[in-house]
Amino acid sequence: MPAHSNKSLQHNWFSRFIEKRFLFLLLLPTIIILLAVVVYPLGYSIWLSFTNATLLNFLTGFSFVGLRNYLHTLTRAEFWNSFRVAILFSGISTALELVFGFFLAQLVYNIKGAKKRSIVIACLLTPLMLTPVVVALMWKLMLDYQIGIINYLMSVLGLGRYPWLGDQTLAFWSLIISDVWQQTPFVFLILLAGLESLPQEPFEAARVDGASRLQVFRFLTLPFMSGPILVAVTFRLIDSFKIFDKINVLTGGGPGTATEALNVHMHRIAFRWFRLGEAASIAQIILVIIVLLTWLALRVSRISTDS
Amino acid sequence: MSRRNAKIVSTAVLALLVVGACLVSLFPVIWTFLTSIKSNVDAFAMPPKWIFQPTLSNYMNVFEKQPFGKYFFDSIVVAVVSTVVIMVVGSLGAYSVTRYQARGVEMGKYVLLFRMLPPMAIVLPVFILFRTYGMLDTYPGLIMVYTGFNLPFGIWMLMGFFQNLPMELEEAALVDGCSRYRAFWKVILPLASPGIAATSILVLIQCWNEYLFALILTARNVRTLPIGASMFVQEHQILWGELTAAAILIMLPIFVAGLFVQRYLVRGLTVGALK
Repeated sequence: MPAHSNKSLQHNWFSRFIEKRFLFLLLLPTIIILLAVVVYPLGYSIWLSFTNATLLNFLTGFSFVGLRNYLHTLTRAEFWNSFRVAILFSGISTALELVFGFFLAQLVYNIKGAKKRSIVIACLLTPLMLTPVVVALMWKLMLDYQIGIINYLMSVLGLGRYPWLGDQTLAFWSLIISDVWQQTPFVFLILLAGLESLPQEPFEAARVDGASRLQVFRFLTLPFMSGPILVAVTFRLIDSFKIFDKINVLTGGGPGTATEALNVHMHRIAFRWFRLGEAASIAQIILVIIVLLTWLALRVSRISTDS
Repeated sequence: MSRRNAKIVSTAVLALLVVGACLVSLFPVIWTFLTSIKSNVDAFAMPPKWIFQPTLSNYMNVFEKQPFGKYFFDSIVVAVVSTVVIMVVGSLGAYSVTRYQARGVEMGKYVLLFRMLPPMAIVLPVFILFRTYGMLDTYPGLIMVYTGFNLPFGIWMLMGFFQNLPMELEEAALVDGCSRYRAFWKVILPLASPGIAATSILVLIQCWNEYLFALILTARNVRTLPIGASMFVQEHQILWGELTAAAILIMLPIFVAGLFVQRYLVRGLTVGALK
């Protein structure tokens, strides 16, 4: 068989072409799909952001308006409110996930016994796999003012009942709680992998020298873990900045606009008011922020694209 | 002695913390499950009932009063077809990218950039384009978007597996007179198959969980499970019984799939090799 294909290879122009351009040909379907589904719509959206398109004038004709959408967006208090909500949401939830994730990673790292350990990891990873919409629905049930188990437990403990989803501040924290519950395992997983690949020698040396636990943590664990920590933080920052499903289902951006993060805001402009041009300008702003964060992630953290 | 006691105490504290953490992780799921098998009267009882007569009526309602079977069907069709296309195209693409990388052509970061793109940035133009070309609320439309948007994720994950295969393998095959095509098909793909299997399950879960595109791009004809479930939250009331039953039904396949891919999760979800 190999001899046969080898022979035909020398005589067949077509198979020689395949042989020469093999890697590019393999990549071609990917390039075509990404151009059609991602790049082309993105370009279309950028063009749209410079027009006054709405659903009403879309077929009858709309016109180029230059930077007017961007100026309009950037001077609206609503936009800056949603910008603030998005930043606060990603910042706070990422910080909490880092703290809890690190704690859990340390905890599990100290468990002896492979079987016990894998059971614990399976339990801790459960939230991560779940559908975000389902997570939001589960927390909606538990945080309900009337029938929610959280309010019941709090009242049993004498802490009183709270309108979790009905109060502006509490609604924001409800979102944080549901996101931290689901995404802490992600940070945990990366940090655990980091802990497992730590070099052993410096830690043994520190023990011999009689270093305290705090010293070991401060001067050995933290510096050695800076790589995994940065990876976890950048990925969480970017992904929590993109959040939409959980907010839309749990609070719908409310009460008022208290939890209307950038994505939810854009969704409202685009699909409730159908101000397409303006929404496209917000989309470009979101895009720029994400690209910048990704660039930062590649620069700062040691996410390597080659192993 | 006191040193031994201290050790026992610290072990106990550790165990307690671990059990507590597991409980916090699992409780919402358990609570949702309990609510789903309660009658409406029991579900709203305060204080909550821990012992009750379980019932499957919520599950029956989900399928009988709501077209949940149809949502299931739509979810499966869209997720499976998208995953198959992603895996076929993605395996080729990922192999190509890793070999380009090996030659010093830096491509991985573009894959990462595509993986990071916010869905919100393309859902609006896709909505308009689909509306223009009559592709809203169709299977091909949603499948196309899922494929394009999850392809970079699949490629990124597969890259990790292809990188672990030594180049010498295929070079040996080439020296033996194999064409590159045969070397890829007969040598590389079989070796990468565990990684391909793990990746396909993670991609499947991603498509299964997707919400935004389904919300905007589909309506009556095609309705996936996350949209169907969120519809139990209605203007004036929330159908808690049906809602929790739906939530459990959506989770079940993920639990089964999750058991298989757990050990690949670090690579799949961190989307980056840790150095």
